Amino acid sequence: MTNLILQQCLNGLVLACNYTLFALGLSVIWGVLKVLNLAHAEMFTFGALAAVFAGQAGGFPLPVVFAIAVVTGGVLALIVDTIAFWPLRMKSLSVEDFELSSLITSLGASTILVSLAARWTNNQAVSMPPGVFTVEAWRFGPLVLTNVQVIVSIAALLLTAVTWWVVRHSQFGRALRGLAYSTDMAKVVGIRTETLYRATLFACGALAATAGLLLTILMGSVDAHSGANLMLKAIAIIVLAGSGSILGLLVGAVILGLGETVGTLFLPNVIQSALPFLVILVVLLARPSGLFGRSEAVRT
Amino acid sequence: MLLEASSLRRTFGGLVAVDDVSFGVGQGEILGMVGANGSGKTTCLNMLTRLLPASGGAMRIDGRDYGRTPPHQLIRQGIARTFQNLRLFKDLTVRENITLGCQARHRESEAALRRRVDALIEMGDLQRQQDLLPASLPYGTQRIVEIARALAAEPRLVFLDEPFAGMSSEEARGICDLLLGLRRKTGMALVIVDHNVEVLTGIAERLVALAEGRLVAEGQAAAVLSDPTVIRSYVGADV
Amino acid sequence: MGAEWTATLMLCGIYSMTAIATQLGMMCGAFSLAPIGWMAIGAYAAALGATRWMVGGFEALLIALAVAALLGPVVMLPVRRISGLYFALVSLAFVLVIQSVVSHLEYTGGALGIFGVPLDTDLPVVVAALVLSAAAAAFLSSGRRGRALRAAGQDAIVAQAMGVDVFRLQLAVGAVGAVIAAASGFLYAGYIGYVDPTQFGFSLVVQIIVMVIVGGRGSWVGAIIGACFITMLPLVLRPLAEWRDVFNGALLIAVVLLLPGGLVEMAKLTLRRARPAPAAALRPSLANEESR
Repeated sequence: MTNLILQQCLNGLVLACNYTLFALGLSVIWGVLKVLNLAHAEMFTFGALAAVFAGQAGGFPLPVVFAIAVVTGGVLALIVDTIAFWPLRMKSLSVEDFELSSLITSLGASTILVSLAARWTNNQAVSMPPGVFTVEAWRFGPLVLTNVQVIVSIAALLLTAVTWWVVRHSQFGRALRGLAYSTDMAKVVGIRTETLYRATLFACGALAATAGLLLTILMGSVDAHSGANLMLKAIAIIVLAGSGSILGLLVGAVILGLGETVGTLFLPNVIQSALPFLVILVVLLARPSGLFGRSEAVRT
Repeated sequence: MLLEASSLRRTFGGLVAVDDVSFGVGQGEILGMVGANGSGKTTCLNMLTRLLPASGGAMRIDGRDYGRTPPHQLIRQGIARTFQNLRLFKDLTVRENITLGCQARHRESEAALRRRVDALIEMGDLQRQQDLLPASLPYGTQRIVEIARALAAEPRLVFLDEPFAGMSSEEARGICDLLLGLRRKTGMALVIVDHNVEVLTGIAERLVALAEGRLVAEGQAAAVLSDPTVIRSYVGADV
Repeated sequence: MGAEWTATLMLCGIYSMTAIATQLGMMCGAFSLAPIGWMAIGAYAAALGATRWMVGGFEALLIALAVAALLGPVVMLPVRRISGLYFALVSLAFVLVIQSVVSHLEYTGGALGIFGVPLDTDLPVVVAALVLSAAAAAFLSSGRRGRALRAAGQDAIVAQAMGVDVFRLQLAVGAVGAVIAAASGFLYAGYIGYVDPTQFGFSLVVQIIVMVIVGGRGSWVGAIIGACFITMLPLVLRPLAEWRDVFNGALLIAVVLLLPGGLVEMAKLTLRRARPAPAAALRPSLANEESR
């Protein structure tokens, strides 16, 4: 039993790395663009699908497959922006109006993309053909770890770390945080806001696609609804974290990842599947600003 | 005393926005509140209108503590207010905005409410604009609508948060005349927060000055405005 | 009238009720998706009443409505502490918890759901229920209450300063919305003949949001127009049925970008153009010209 628990802990942590990677992009978009981008999930799905189909076409080495996924995710993010968010930014709405309107347009974009993905895959799960990636299992005493798990975790953690560094310490990140604080202020100090918005969306789309590819390799397959299913978990993680805290994202992802793997051993099915939503409910009620978010002084 | 604020305090996280502020407002008195940006004026108003819970201190109206009264019940106690940034309901017409101001205090028929609002619309000279949406009105007119909405409930005490902001001195004086006329008629008390010291001293009978969340001076306008602490905290003000 | 049209009209009425319930929440500043959860509860009450509790349809309906009236305000409670999108998320969590609970409980038939709900719903019943729901919505959104409701929806803080008990209003809307939505779910189960968890998941949430937004935010009339429009369109334009989701998504984006007031706003504008405008023009653009 102890071994089983340990093994599930390990699996949960691997999942958590991936969740973090996915939630990270969502969180950055929310922070910078003030959009709760429900279509973020579709960058994940389309990135993974593009990679799988490229793999099935055969002949591409893994780096190329990876590049295809990244570009697909990034470009798709830009397309969604052009259709759903950019026109709203041009309208100079109040913050509340913009948040609600962009949530609804992103919902529209997401609906379209899920439906297109379902047609593209004939509503079937598709899987990476053998040969693109060979799975090897290593034993550490009673525990089993696959090379996939190791690579996925390291890649996810690395990308998270890089994103954190970029946001916190780079020139780009400084501009980004300025933009998150006030669009008008950023314009005044000479930040090209539109370019920055697009760059952010592209990067976040690419991150989501990467998460899609990694999770597909980990799980073996992907379908049109994979991203959407992950979306609710990602929202739960962001809510748990509070705005703008990457450490919070990690902690949130670990709680959810462990809940899902270790939880299967202890929790009844009913609670198990409702876990992300229960997390959202409980955290928002107890601490509206999240576990790691700062409560903001509200001016009336 | 109509209103007594004693030792009001408010912190935001570690930041002390208002600290140990006490003052009183008499029946029918007009009190001006001055202070630089960020000195805690609006925070005081928000606490005294119960929109923001106080971290400490007490507030009384007619000697009764109302520090735990929910904000929507203040209008029934005769306390009304306006807001620093115009906060008219953008999807309600001018008439609806004003009606909303009095419907909670005066629980009477729609027809009676209409007569009441008619009088206010006449007072503000808003007959032509009464069925328009606020966004279509010039700024000064919107201010008047907001004041009319606050006065609609026939309050005993009105807090006005920067009513003269963005107005010419002439427009501001027009509003002052309106307020003085109404006070003569109803005997209400006013607490006015504003940067326009010139206009404020013209209407206020007494001033309180805040600096960095503390009350630094109180009394006759001339005395308060010549107080060295006030001058120091109020750089660039037309004193 | 063909059977197909009767069926579509019944669906229009049922969805209109859920859309009205959702719209009421949006109008008072509580963007709650909870009505979809209440619809599920109403539908399961119909199914359980017929197959487990062994009570008549009317008794099952009463149980569902009573639960909704009592617990509807409870689900609305979080709005006191959190607002905006965060509250929408909490209400969405409620919907998904309900869905995942019914799909894992043996008592509710698990993922397969429950078959054999008596087909008791007919058009007159739906029309009567819709009229009652619309009357409740009209009552809430007219006169003194209506002003308070809209004020609460636009700026809760100022509304409070004006003496509106925003929270109590939202709780009342929580109760009314839950009752209307539970009734619509009950009728839905009696229309379709079975219930299963997939009927009341995220896709229904999307569907209802599309109806409310396309019809027009801020009025219960808009909710009905939107629900009928979205329900009937695939019937009128056959090819659309196949591309339904793509079309819904595109429509959602188009309306938010081009027609923020929805169909009801468009109808008003057309009417105003048809009749010469009265002296007091309500549109800001017209008013500007007038004041110049």
